[in-house]
Amino acid sequence: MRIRIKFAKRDSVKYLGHLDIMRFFQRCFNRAEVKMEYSAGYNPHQKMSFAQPLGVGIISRGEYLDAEIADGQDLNEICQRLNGVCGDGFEVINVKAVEEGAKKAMAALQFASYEVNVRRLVPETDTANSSKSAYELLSETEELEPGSFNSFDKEISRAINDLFLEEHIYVSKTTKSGTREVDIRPQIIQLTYQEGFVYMMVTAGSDNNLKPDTLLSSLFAKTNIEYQKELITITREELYAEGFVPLDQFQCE
Amino acid sequence: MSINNNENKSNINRQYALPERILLNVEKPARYTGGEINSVMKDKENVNVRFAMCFPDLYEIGMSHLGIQILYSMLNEKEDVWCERVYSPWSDLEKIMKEESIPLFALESQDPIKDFDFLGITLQYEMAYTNVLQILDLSQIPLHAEERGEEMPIVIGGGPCVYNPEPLADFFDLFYIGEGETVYFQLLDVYKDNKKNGGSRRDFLKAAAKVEGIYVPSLYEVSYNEDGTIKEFRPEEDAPEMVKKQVVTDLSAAHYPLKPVIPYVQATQDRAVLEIQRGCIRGCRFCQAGMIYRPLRTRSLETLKSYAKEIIKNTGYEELSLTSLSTSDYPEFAELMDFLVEEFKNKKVNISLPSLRIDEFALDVMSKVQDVKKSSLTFAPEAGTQRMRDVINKGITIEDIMYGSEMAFKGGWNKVKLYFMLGLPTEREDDVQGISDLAEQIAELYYDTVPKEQRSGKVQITVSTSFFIPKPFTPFQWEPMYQPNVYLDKAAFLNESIKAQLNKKSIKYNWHDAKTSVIEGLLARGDRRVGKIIEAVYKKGATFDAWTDHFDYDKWISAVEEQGEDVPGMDFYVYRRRGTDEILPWDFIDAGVTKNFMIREFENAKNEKVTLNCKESCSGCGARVFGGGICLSH
Repeated sequence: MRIRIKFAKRDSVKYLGHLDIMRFFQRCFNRAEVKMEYSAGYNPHQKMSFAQPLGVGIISRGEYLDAEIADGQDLNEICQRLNGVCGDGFEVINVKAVEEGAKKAMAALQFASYEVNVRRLVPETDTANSSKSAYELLSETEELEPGSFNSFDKEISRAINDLFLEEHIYVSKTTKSGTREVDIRPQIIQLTYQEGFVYMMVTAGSDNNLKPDTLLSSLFAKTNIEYQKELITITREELYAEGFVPLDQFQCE
Repeated sequence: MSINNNENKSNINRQYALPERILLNVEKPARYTGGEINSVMKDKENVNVRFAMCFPDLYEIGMSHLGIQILYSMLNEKEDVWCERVYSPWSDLEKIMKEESIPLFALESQDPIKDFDFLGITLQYEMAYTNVLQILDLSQIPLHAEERGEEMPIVIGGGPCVYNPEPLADFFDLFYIGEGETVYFQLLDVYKDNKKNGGSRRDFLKAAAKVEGIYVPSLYEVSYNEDGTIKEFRPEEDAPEMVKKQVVTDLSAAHYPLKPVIPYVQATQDRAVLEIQRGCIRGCRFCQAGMIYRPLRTRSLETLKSYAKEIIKNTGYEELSLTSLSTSDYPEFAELMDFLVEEFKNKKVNISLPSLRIDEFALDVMSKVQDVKKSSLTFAPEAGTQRMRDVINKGITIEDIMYGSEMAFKGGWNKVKLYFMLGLPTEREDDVQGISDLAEQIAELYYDTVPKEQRSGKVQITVSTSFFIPKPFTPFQWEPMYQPNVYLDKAAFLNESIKAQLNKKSIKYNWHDAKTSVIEGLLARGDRRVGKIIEAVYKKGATFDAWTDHFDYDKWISAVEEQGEDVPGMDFYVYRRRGTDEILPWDFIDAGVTKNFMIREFENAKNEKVTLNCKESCSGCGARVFGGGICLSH
């Protein structure tokens, strides 16, 4: 039977690459003694596939992998056992059975939502009489001081509006076959900003994928704020099938 | 989507020594962030000893090493000790750390190494010596032991290279000679006592020298003769004259890591490892491991069976590698293999056997555990003629090799790798020619053995040669090496000879770098003065010398040549024949095997006389003093 596993990738493992995570899950299944189905051939491997690789440095609350397992195993127990062996960096959120004949997660995938913490981009001058950045102050008080982000907030909100007014947003995309111009405007479904966080819903999947970094670059290009990648935190919130149905509710039982 | 969902986010956010802007700009950042499954976290406030265990090479290499896993797991079993790991940062990060003065840190706590009590560095190969200096340098620990203040960690070296620690003597406070399972806790107790009594660093070193197996180089003085050889090697005060290698006598009772750290980044050896025995009965005269790990000791079959099951269960690895020297010499090898094949056949766990002597029995086992079509068989005849094989005491004959090959071809293999050495003592042109002839003979045997309709393409024979490097504690420890161009001539001669063979298209030939070999030779048999060369070459920017594209021979040679008259050069250390009456830099180590035995074996080599292996007969090497292993069966 095919199962769909929803898991979170936490901060402590955000530097792992996709291949590392695949190998990690293979061994988790072994340690959890899940009876897997294997491919035929000289070098049998577990039948598993991920909905969408996650970039290095990105954390997630909504990752998916499909796996073929032997029939007759209790899915709740598998979920518990996986959590028992996967360490602190990962959390298995749920394990569901995928309907007979349903698309694999990677084929069903159409949209992804991200939350981007851009608070650390707030320039130091926005904070009153302090050598600390606004972000540092925030992490101490854990409360937003009203008004301290005013100009920053306004700038990003304005840029989002400007972005939506564009009919086309061309970015150059480098692939194996060379560099070409791609219009990312149709790939942006939703883009909002609230108190230091950018939220986005974008198209995802093998042939229509928009990386959050690409969109953020275009967005910040429209502001007077310097886009410093290393100061932002991107969290993938959820992956969706058609109709914005989360993958764990799409053709799953 | 809401902004106040901080509670839902993980609290297990690790703090890293490196900021994100660096981590996202170096290759494979997960090399430096720790947190792997089975890595050990402790509260640093609740431990007495903080130990940083270092493999001075890239993470992927270091994480493949069993010795570190054994010591890591053993030390962490003690509640008041926290052992962490550290590896060499790759060149991209090294550059940034130097520019920004970021001190090297341990993976677990991410704390600077310089704040630890101990920095233990395993010395597995000589070409990592510049990396040792890189580790100290990046840790912001003074390179020279004598310049280290009271607050600096005690730097201790271990591993096979400590059988001649002298080239690194200036950089280490201590060396641990022998197997780590024996006196580490004793040493840590001495450290804790000294700390409790308010003793100084020097007090600790003096007390540590009294622990059997611990060598404190600063307590020994070396003087030299006019010809550069050692005049005297003298202990100060009451440091022992001889340092005795440490040996585990009961391997089954020794600590074994059943929950090894599982790296996220793919290690070079990405599999579970089961050490089935330690030592070797064979006594090949070029082989240092075969001498220094004597006597052969085995883990009991029952122990291995339970370990195998447990390690696979705990790690989830798809492969179990049986490690030892000459694995098929394990007394109950057939029973062990039958058990493992049976146990794991439905669990998709492969068994790999990296060190097998090829005989009929081994091939039978191999065909059970390996996919014949994909894998190649490796033979190590080491030399091309029977004369030469007798000189090096490689106890196999041409019949063994041809029989083994025939069995392999009948078993379906058509890829064979052959390992040889060039530049062995007494080597003549016909010995080199013999390598080529042997490869040709094996190729012909394939076409004679396998009928045309059963062949899947040509036979593929890969001949690889390394250049012989004399090592301490071997019967060839007095032998000279050749200049790099002589080695290359030998390789060129062999290459031409292979090209002239009938089946030249079935034979591929690779040879090692001759320049790396002579530098390895320099480091292997150098004395204390060689430390100056290592330091000089490090300051010229040399690191990762074990990596072909990093090794810079010219840097090394200029470092050798710019030394003053008090440091002899390559002619002295590498190309010179030593007399058996000369005091060698490593003579103060009691490795069990005696100098008399090595002189005897050296004579046997020159007389082309084979010495029987430990199973057949005791050759009186001296390892019996340890009172364990195969010596007890005589």
